Amino acid sequence: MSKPFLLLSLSLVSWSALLAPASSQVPATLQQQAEAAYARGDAARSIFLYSQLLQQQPDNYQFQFRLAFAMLNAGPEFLQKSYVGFQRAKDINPNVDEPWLYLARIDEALERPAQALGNYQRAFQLNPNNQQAFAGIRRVQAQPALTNLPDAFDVLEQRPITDYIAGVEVNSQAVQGLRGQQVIAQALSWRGLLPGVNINFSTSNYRNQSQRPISPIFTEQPGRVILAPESSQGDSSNFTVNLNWNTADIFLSENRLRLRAYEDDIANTLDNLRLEAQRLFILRSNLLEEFRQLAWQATLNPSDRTIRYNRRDRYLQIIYLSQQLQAITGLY
Amino acid sequence: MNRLLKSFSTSLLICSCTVAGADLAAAVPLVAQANQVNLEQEADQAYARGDAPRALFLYSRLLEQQPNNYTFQVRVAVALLNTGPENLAASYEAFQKASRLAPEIDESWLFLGQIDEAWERRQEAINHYGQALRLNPANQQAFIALQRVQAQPPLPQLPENLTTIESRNLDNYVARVETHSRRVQGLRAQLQIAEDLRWRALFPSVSLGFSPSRNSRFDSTSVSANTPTDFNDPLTFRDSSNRGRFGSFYVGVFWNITDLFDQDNETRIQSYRNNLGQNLQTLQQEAQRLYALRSNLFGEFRQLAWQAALNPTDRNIRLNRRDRYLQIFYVTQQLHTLTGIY
Repeated sequence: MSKPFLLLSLSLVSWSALLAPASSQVPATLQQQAEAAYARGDAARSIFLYSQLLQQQPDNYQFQFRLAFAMLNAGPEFLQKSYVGFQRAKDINPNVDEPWLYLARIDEALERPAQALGNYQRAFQLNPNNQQAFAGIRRVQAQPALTNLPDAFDVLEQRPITDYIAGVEVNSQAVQGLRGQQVIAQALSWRGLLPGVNINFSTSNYRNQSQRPISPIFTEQPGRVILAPESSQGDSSNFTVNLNWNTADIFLSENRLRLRAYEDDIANTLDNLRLEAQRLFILRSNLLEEFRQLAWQATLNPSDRTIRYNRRDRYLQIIYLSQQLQAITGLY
Repeated sequence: MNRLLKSFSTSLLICSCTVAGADLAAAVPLVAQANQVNLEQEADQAYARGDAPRALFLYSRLLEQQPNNYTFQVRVAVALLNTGPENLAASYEAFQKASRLAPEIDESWLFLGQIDEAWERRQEAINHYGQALRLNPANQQAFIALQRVQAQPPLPQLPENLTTIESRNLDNYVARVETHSRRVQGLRAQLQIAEDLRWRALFPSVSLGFSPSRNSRFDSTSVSANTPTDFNDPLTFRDSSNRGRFGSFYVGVFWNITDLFDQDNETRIQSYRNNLGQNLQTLQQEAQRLYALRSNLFGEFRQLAWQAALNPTDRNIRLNRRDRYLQIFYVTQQLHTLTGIY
């Protein structure tokens, strides 16, 4: 644990200067112990002792700064607490460049370039001899800015998996689409009751001309036939309505199979998407953990190119996974 | 004792591996000697030199004589912790006993917190570390551990106790695929419906027809000659016309003979049966794959949890341990989807 602590202590211009006694009001033993622990790079002990000292003097800048600094060195899990610690130190004494510098380093490591630049510039304004702040400004300005995370880093980290699982059913477009189709299919259950209707209309006409032999009642010339022309014409029209039902569709509809298939499809899709959300959550949790480690290392060594490359790679992967999670669950 | 516990827990990892075999072989005469001379002295020496198996053996004997001795109990627990990952759960129980014997001493609470943290039981770890810190505000390890646990994002809770999950038999999972897999249940229900649809062909189509009289009509006119009474009479003609309306009503019933004797539905039913059989086989294999994967992950996690209990601040152990924990969580959820049990 003390390795990065010592590493950082070498790079700090003001490290030794900070070892000067801060106050004489606090019992000397506790403060001396704290200073000794701080001097030998014992981060855990420093946190423990400076936390106690701060309970006695909450507005002591040096105690606050050292607590934040010890936390920074204690490990990646304390990075957020360290940031809050430096913010408090900056609030207690805004005219010292150090807390601004560390705030900027953490901002830079967490890919918040605008805040990093502002804090580096503030540190440089307060101390134009601060070479690290100068280098930090140039470094941040030279790097292409990455896309912002959709939510704050710690919000993403703290959101419980249950929220994502619950979000699948109400927010997944795939499930919503299938549910919409299921509702339509349910409405189609009544189809069988509606008959097929045939409406027929037929019209016809005829015209007939004929000659009909007429036998007169009395005739002087037997065998002579009188032919009489006759004609007839007429028209008719017919209108019919037919209603057809398929009783199989009424009593044993194929739609049952379709409805069951939709029900199964929705249930299986939900299961799969919930599992996918969990897979993405777990993958992202690991990436967040790796990113936090790398961000912590980057805070301690802001100019290390390999750390920066890996950190930015994890950051981009986190963004992509967050977008995938959002598509399934509606939450980042 | 604080110092002793600390040195024990840090140095014993190496010692326990090298000494275990030899000491166990020599255990009987040494115990006999210890019983005769000073069993407690022997145990203290084994403990001081970091000989975990021997310390465990001797303090267990001492505990049989004095079951309520806190020192013996906590040393058994520390020795168990140092003998290996397989004794982590036993060590936890031993620390619990120690904390009941002397609830005012912070050590056992601290170790309980460390094991809880290693097993990802966040709330229990916070409670135990908090208790240790309350009992001894100067306990720096408890203070830092509390900060560490609180600073870390909480991981999802396993649906059941890790030991319960770990002890469940593979056969349980495989047997339950058929009865609990949602996919299989769905396919089975669809097959049942498809089989019922065989009777569809027996249901006829019914047709009701109606031709209303108001709209159906006929209209005809004809010219025909009148029969003359005399041959020389000129022909005279007469007109006649007919018109009227008609209506009808009919019922028709139709069957499709092809469907009665040679149904398409049979193909569908066979397809469902094949699909069901294949799915069942695939899902049972998947359950076995997941079970094997998780068993390996359990093994790794137990090792890492043990290492983490001994070195709670080690970042790499923590990263790997949490990774395995999350993988176990995910695989467990997958198994539950297939089998209905975690």
